Amino acid sequence: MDYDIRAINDKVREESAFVENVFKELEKVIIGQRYMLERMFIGLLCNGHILLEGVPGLAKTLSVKTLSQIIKTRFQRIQFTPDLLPADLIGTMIYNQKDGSFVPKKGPIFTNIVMADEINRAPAKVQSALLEAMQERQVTIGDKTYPLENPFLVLATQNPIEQEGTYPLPEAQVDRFMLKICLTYPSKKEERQILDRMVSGDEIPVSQVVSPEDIIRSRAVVNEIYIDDKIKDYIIDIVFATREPQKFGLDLGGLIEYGASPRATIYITRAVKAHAFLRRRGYVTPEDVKSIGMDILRHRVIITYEAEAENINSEHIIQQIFDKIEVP
Amino acid sequence: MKRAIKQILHHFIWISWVLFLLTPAVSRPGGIPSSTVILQATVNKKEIAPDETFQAEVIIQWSGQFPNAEIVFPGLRFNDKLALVSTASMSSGQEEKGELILQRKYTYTLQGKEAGVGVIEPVTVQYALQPGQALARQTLTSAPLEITISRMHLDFSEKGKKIIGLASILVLFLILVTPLGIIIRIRQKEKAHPDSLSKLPPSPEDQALQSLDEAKQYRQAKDMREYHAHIATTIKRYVAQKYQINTTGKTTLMILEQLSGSELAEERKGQIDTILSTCDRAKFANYEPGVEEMNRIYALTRDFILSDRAGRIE
Repeated sequence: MDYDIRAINDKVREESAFVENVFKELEKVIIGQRYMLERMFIGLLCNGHILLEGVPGLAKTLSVKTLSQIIKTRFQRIQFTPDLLPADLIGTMIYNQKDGSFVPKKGPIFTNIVMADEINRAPAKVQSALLEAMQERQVTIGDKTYPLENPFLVLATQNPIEQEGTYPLPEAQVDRFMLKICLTYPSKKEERQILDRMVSGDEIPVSQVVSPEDIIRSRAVVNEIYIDDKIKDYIIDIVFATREPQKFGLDLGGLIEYGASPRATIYITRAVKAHAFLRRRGYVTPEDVKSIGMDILRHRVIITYEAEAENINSEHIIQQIFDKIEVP
Repeated sequence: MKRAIKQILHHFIWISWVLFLLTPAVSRPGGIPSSTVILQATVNKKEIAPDETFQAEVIIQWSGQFPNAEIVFPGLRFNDKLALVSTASMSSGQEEKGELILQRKYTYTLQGKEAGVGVIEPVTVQYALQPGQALARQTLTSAPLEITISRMHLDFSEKGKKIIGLASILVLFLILVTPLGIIIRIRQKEKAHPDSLSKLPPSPEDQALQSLDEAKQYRQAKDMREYHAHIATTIKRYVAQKYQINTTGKTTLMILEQLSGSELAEERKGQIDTILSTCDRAKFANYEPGVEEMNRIYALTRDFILSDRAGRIE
């Protein structure tokens, strides 16, 4: 396949012109957290869902809400609780007394951006319903199947500190999330800015700078971004190193229970293109792989009990892989 | 006539008697007591090194019927280039054909003090056939002896010659055997490690320049991506080796970040940035630089390495 990189570059520059405006608007409300905001946008561009992990109060909900305002999309926040039912999420058939018929009542999932807050607090059947909708991008209510909105993005949050009475997501279902983002506290300087800006409690207005159509069009441009064979091989090496670390000279024997799945390879390839798009490039570099690789792999590399006992998490392992595999 | 002949004969006899009386004993033959005195002065070495010792022998031998002969030997005299270490004397006697032969031997051990010529002055011996005949004393004198004292002197005495001979054989053996041993050792090493070179490993600059030359083959084959990939690998390996940073799992930005903390001059960091960024575009963006730019990147990489080498030599 022949690539006219110059043409792709020009196209990317043209189509990604809104990116800086989006971040400018987002940063009016959200201080710091550029890392999270970029990944949310990558999820949107790649049509992938995001699992956010962080302590409460890190502006997760506010970020999603602001993003939806900027894109002018519909936004729904669903608080997951132990008594939540699948019908509360996807909808159900309601009996109409007037004509004695059952009519579908669509659930809050019929929106563009869903914020599934504390997803691990709902029982497995609700989680499964959500994850199925995420995967299929359609929901069946009664005997009728309804397609979900486009763009459709699920941002699920998990609280890492309170594990009592929770239903941890099974590994197979976590794999459905394209990215898992671990949020950290802001810096001292950022915290001071937050104080100055948010203490009044007034809502900060943001402008709509991009439409859902722009996002859908951008997705097509992202797909066109050139990814060289060397980068593809690099991605494959990284994914394979999670499965067979010894073949890459990595001494990780006994620490990895399961390596990353082929879905990881696909998601990395998509995400690096979107990352290049955000950098307004028409081609992918190893920088993109390094930047986004960790967010795609951290929930896909399953560690052993031995690793847990030694206080080694999947991030330590992935970092070792990134350090060892030669950058092309 | 007869009277004249008688007078001549009378004068001849008279003169002969007078001459007989005047002739020294040593030369008097027959029934009149006769004696022979011999003086010998010798040294066992003619050439020595400073501080080396040698022996000088003075032998006085006399024979005849004068057992009470008086011998006066004042001792050995030598110049300031020599020093006396020890002295010894020994007397002996034996009878041969009814004649008594007496001998006195003086042995001097001398040492060379400094480089130059050591001179043993002529040995003088005075003797009298009977004690108290001071007026009739005779004198014998030997020739002077000279010993060269040289710093370069080698002791070629018999023992010395043997040692030197053995040492020469040993040295010759070592000269012949050592290169043979080295060759065998190198071959053994090469067999054990076929890739190892017998010489010192080349410097990072030399390795990088050699690698840079290898990039030309890709250019000739018009494989621009591999050409730039090779240049990028060369500069990354060189930087890793030269500035002790790990470039294996590092992207261009990461390498530049690492170098930002180094003592490398900003201009040179900029050179690395230009080389790696251009190579990245060629590698990952399917970008084909023009001939001029390719030459510039090649020259820039070469200059970067050469300037390091120049700095090292200075």
